Amino acid sequence: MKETARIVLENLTKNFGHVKAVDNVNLEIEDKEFVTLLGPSGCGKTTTLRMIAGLELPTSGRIYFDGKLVTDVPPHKRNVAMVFQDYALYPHMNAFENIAFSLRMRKVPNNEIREQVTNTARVLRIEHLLDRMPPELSGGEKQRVALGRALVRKPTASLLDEPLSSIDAKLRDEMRSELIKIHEKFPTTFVYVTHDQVEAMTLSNKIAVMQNGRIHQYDTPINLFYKPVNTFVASFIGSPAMNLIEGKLSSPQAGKVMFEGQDFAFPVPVEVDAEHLNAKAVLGVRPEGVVLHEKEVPGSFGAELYTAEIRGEFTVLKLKLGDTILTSRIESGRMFKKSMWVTFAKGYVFDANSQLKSTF
Amino acid sequence: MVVCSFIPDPELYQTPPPFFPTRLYLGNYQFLWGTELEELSGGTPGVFAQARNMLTSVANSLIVGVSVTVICLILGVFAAYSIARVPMRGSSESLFYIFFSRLLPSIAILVPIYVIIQAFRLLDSLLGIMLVHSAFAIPFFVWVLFVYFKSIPQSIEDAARIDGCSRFQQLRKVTLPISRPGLIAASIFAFMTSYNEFLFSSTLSNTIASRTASATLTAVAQGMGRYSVALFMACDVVAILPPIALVLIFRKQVMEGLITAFRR
Repeated sequence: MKETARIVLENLTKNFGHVKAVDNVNLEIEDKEFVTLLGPSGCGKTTTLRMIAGLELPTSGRIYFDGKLVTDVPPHKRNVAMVFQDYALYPHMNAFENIAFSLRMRKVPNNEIREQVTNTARVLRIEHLLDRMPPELSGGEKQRVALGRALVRKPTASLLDEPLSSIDAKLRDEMRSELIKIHEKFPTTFVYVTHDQVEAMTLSNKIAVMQNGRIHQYDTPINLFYKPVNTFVASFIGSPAMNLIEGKLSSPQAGKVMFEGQDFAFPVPVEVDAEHLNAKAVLGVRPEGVVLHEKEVPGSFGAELYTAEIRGEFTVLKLKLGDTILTSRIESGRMFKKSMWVTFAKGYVFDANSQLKSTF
Repeated sequence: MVVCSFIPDPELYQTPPPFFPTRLYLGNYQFLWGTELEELSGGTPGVFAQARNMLTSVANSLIVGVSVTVICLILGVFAAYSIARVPMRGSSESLFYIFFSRLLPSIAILVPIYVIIQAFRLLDSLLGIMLVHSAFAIPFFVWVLFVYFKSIPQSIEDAARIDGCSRFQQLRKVTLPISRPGLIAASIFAFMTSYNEFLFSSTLSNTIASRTASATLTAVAQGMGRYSVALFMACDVVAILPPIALVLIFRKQVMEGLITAFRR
């Protein structure tokens, strides 16, 4: 069997009773790519992954591995590996047997099993843990054993369901860079599910942002950040989240389209189609695009300091512009005052349906 | 009870009665094994005959109990697993039905069951008692195992299926080994249900051929004359030995299994 594969999901839908968990998802995952399904809990990302694994049967739609239809193939015949959020190690077997289990199921000779398990364990640095039982392992060690179990069999694709969410923050950072290394050492197709945008951004070649069972955008991390297709993606990617201000676009004044928010009007330096004029719109500005001035400058708005969060490497300020609260991110150590003036350096204009219209 | 069984019957009636046996007296047990007993006078002859049947009855009880346990294991594991894990229409209803059957007072169904067993010509046979006991033991067995299966994270079973197991292999290689304490606890309860059961055992058997320990004990007790208390105690000791041995051997698993079953 081929070691890696191109995975194609076609109009994939899964209903649980009346709930549409996954709604007409189309996705193409290239060979050896690291793809992340990113979204808030309940968005259907795990269900999508489970359908790729064969643990759930889709209500409709098709799944192809390397052009071969596998929609109804049971999991044990798909040659995919999976890492679960709670590790799901077999509690009655030691680490070695946990990793060896899939090889035993495929009747691999004993000496080969020993060799392959030892090799995998060496890469994951868990050789010294192989005779321990799961309760004797720490969270990070369990995670490595679970990864070992997935990687030892050289699967068509490795599916990872929030593998880092149940270990502590420090270890999570370590495991994240380790995952990048592991993907280099075991170049197979990785499909990764998470609700953590930092994990998604740092690990993936491509990210599919999901909400309510649908994919909003499937793109590279950089494109998701700089060209979000709608307000959901814009607010989900980036930390602190993008400021989204509701208002409307009015007719050009002195050749410039005005964005009229509740508390201010701002000349948007972009071309806008006539159909969007005098219609509702959303102005999006990332916190680093909210620029602070100590004195009034042309085109600036007066704002009051609301809260300040000193996070060490940078400082997050919440500013009140009338009733609108804006988040701004400034370099740490920079002074801030009770009242300041803000301008918008970089922003996005979304239309009434929250779709991106233009950027400036 | 154990002390009394090691004292010759007449000595039990002295005032004050002996608190500990003065010598190791095995007469009561020897009688059960067939030796005649001088100290035994009085009492109805039938009682002595009944007491002589004690060993056969305990053997009958063991045969029935073990068979009931095996039947429960085979049927109960599949019943509990499919209700716990296989999505199907009416699984919660069937669980309710299984429990509900357990709530019926057995006296209420004694006559119908007697008629059914009679119709199958299984009166006075171990097989008849086995079947009835199994019907009583399975609900609790299924319940304990159902709860146990539910307590196993779904992801472990998913992992097994991804690692190359079919449903059946997954059950055999992963789910059942993990459920070992639950299986043992449920099995012991099934065994005890059968071993303790009196009403049906005594109603469905007329001769010693199919009489179980609980029925024989009652027969001995009912016919007991003035001088056979010690003998009765010996019968008792013989009857409780198997269950005590079982619980001692599997003490840890029984506790583990029950704690899991009741914690959820």
